[in-house]
Amino acid sequence: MSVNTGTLEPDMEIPSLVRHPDTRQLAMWAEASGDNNPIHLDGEAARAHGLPRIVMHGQLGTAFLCRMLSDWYGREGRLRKIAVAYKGFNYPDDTLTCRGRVKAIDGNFITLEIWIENQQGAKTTEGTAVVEI
Amino acid sequence: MSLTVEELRNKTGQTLFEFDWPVERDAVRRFANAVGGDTPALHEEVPPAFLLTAGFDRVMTDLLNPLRAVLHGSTEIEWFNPVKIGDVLKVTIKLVSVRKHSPLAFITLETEQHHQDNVPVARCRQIIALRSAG
Repeated sequence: MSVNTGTLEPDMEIPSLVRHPDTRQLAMWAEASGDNNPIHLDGEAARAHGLPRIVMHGQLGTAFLCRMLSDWYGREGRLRKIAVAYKGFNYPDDTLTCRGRVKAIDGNFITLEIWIENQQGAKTTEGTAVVEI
Repeated sequence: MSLTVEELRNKTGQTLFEFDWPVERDAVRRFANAVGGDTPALHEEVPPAFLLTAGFDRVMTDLLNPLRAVLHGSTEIEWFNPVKIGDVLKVTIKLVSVRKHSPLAFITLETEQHHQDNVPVARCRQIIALRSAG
């Protein structure tokens, strides 16, 4: 996909990305990212930390958001900055929808609000991104 | 490295890790597969989020697992220049701050990545919660 900055307007949403992470995907992310914290891999370890069950890595959510953005801006764009806060837990088998909305356009630089919401509509990760087109 | 939070606090402002990081095709492929979906064709330029993984295995093993890290609180990353498969990046990971908020402690790590000729690649700040407040 390529983005025509002339047609962008504030409040416009970009195409969303849906993910259904399962325990296998978390294990793959642990290996790929080096984040082998057992709360993401072992239910007992998660419960020992007071969590109800295994939780998804926050950084995997950030990678989902980056993927949503790169699917949108394509090979002509470049991600310049992303800042996100992890507000709630994501669990294996959740339905996670990554969404983004244009906040400001300054020449070739687009600032977007980005977030992940779960199947209950709760925003579990929120932040901003700057993309150069 | 096996530190208490208090000992770690004395290292505020210091570089905790410094190493060369070869960007290997297999590692980029594993990353793309882990993010999932229709894995895009692997171009020579690596996906931006791949840089989040720089040295994180040693941060976990040497720092966060012994300190009983719980979770990431936030992530901020700025990209300055592209990275291609085969590049060898110079990575430094610095301890920016340690804040206690019983029963947790929050540490901020800043990772800087440069090409071998010192051209900046990315800067990443992460806040991570630790269970042990001792």
